[in-house]
Amino acid sequence: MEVSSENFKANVETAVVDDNLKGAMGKLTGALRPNRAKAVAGLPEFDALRDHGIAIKMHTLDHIDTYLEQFEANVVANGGHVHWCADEDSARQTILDLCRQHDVKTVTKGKSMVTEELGLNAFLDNHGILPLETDLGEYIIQLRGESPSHIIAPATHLQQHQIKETFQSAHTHLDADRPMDTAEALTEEARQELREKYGAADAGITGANFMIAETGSTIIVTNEGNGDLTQTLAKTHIVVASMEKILPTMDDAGVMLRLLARSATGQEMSVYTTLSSGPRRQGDLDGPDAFHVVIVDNGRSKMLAGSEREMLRCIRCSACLNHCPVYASIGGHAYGWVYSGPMGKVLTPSLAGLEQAKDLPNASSFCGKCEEVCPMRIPLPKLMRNLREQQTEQKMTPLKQRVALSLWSALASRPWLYRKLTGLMTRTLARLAGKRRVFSWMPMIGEWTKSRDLVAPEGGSFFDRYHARTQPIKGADHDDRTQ
Amino acid sequence: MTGRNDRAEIFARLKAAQDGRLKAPHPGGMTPPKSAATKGKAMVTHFINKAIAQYATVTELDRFADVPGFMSDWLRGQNLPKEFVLAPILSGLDWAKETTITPRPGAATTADTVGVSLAYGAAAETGTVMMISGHHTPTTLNFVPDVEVIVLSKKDISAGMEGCWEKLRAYKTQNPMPRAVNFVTGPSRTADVEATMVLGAHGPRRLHIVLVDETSPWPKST
Amino acid sequence: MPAATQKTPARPKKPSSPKAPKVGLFVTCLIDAMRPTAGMASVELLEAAGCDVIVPTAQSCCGQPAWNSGDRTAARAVATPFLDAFDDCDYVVVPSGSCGGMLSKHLVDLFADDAPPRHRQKALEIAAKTHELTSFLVDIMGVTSPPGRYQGKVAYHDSCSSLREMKVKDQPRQLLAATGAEVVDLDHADTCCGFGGTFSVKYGDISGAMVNDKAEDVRAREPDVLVAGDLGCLMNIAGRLSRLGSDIAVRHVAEVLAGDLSAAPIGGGQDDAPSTEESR
Repeated sequence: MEVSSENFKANVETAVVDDNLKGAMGKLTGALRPNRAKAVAGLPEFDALRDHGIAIKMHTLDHIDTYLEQFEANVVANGGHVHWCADEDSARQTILDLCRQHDVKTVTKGKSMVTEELGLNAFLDNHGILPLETDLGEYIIQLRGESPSHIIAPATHLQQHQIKETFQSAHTHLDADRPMDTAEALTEEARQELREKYGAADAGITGANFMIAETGSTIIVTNEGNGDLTQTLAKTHIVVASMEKILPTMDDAGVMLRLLARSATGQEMSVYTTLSSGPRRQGDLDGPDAFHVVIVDNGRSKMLAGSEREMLRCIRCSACLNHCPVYASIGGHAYGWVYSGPMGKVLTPSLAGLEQAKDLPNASSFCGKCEEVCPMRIPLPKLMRNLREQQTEQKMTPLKQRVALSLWSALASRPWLYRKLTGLMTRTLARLAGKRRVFSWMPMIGEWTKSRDLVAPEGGSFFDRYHARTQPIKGADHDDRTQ
Repeated sequence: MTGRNDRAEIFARLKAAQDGRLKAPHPGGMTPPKSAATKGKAMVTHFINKAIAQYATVTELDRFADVPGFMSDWLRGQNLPKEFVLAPILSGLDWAKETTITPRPGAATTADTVGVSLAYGAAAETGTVMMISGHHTPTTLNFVPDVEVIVLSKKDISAGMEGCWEKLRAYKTQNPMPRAVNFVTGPSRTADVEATMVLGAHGPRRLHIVLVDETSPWPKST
Repeated sequence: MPAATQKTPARPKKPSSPKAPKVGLFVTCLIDAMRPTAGMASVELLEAAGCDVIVPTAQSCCGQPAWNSGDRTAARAVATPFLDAFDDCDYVVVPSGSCGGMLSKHLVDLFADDAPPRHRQKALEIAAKTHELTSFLVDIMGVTSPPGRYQGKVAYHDSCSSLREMKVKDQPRQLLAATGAEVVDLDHADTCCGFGGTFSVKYGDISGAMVNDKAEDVRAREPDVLVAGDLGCLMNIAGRLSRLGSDIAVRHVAEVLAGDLSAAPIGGGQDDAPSTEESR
């Protein structure tokens, strides 16, 4: 998918005045925040589980080559195939070649963020292969020609009436007066539309929440059942997975699963968790004839070697999105790529390049809520700060900001001088504001005053007052140890 | 030959990224759930409560031989069609005595309204059943029919997921790894329209669990 | 609903006992320039708790604006002058969770790697003895009853740094309740107000949307006064309340705890109670 994160500020400007988006975000956060809180409160060992999960991930990342090799050997032993792809071009071409090898004309798809990352749908479409998204949210946005705005709830930016309009214009073969005013009716309509498509597809493409080295299995976790219909009924099952999804053992997957659903939707367990381990066995009555796992690097090995390594712990639960006040204010599309919210602010610059996504790590108030709810305790604010430092080092920050910071630091590193100047400024501002005590406009900080007033200083400085109280100042304000 | 083969390149990068790093040890097994009942009757009750909380319905029977009679009554009582698709592992039960119902052993198709299968294990912690694929128990039964009936021996319930993994490892000593292992917790659902939960998204609209006291008819080797 | 304020009669500065802990106040640049009353109230609270307070002048800002902008060099330049300034102190107390977090959590990272070992050592020392004001009063000094009295409805806003970095949550609420105030929580008490330092002037649209939500949350509770331990949040919320035409008073928590309502509220809000004469 093309990265349009450089349009972040313009995207934000539209997003913050979009009433549909505001309504939709309110519903998302209103549901998922309390759900998670309840699920966490219901599991006394949740924090111990987090620590355990983190230890597993750290160990796995330290031995990722070994476990990937073990995974590959077991997939092959199970009768499947593994394909290694260094970047998105390689991954797209590999998937296309697999489609051609199996004479694939139509593809059903389970929700997969890595295939969004690859821009796979458009690529297959351009090569004459029709991809059909089957997750309800993905189906909706595919009809609308949009990208996902959330990693587990791709259509969460939409209100019900917008989905109704989408279905009205897409499903023209249906009675125009059919009832469509409930979530139930819309869900049912999509169910009926997709029901016969799974078995008719030549290939089913899914992602993977995890891969297990011990058994050579890929895991998907879903609630709808579309992913399982996709991978069970198509003739060929192609799994596309980024390589950090690897875990050593089934028990390790158990720890992650306990964390995943609770962090994501507040469920104790998602409805369907499926381990896929190869093609249909001899005598089996169903299941795909061929099983391929396409393992995608696309920037992960670079992250493994770099300062964003901790981000590879991410299990894509979306807790950081659901709890982020910035995400709730602007929705997922503003971020300009597949991954949004706090995890996207680190992942997009890491994978797609910092130059392409300069705003993302900066557009955070560092409130820390993301790190607080992250089941993997990924220090997202710290990682964003690292990326800000990289921008400074590479002189990517705006000149205005660099000049302002160096002037300010030259001043603030000389406390006595700093106080003289700020004292003068604050006295002036206090006088200018007068009885109103606020300014509705101020040069240089229009970003502040466009939505709120600027509070005027009280007048005078703390140090003046404190010294007046304790002792007369002997004109030696710059004596550093005065009390 | 598909695509480029980037294997060597990728592994070289991975190995380079690990160079000189102090490697973290594996933390060992799982953190056991403190909240779940871990054995006996309490564990079964916990399973039932959790399954019901996830919108499944539950019936308890003494023997596997009672399953055909139960199905006959239940289908009629629920106003469901008398034809249904049945996991071959259960076709050894005496279905012939139930003359009003017509089980069809095999895999499910979209024409099937009701499917009946046998679970291989279950986790009481979350009310989850574990299904394995194979000619005995086709995977489609778990996803395609509108109504999914899963028969489960109480003896196959574990406290948490650890027990399921243990069962699977034991299975693997006699058999190849099943192509698919499905953990199922309640019927299909979605919340993709305005975060409103709706049951019956693409998979089964209903999940009925038939709990049997007896040991399940799973053969040691399938 | 009138909110009356008074405090115990003004005392002369207590001669500190030999055992009195020596506390260095890190005033913060915002309080120094924008809200001296909050700084004076902090001194008063610490003295009333029995501390021997000093305020080293070798301090301006904690360096956080540069640190959070990814400019380590500038942040080090600003933080270096105060590395030695608190040597004599048993504690460093900060009337701000955000600057407190900078000193206790980030200073060590700021002076990591290639920083002179002496600076790193100083950063570690400061980190180990830094506390946010209200948590210091309750957790270290065991204060249960602050000097101020406040007969009104107070909403306490948790700043993100206080809440998450400095583990401040119940302490200010306990102290406020001890003034006689009715303490109410906001519906989304743990959600950021959108200040975030330079974030608020770099991403005004996002920050503006966030502070609007917070201001609506405050208005829904109808407090007589909104207080917080961080001036940044207070200026932000007060600015939005003022823009919305609300007259809810906004103050630093130290002012209410010290019973010093001598200054007009932050921004355009109004106290229902007369204050100047009573408090000073």
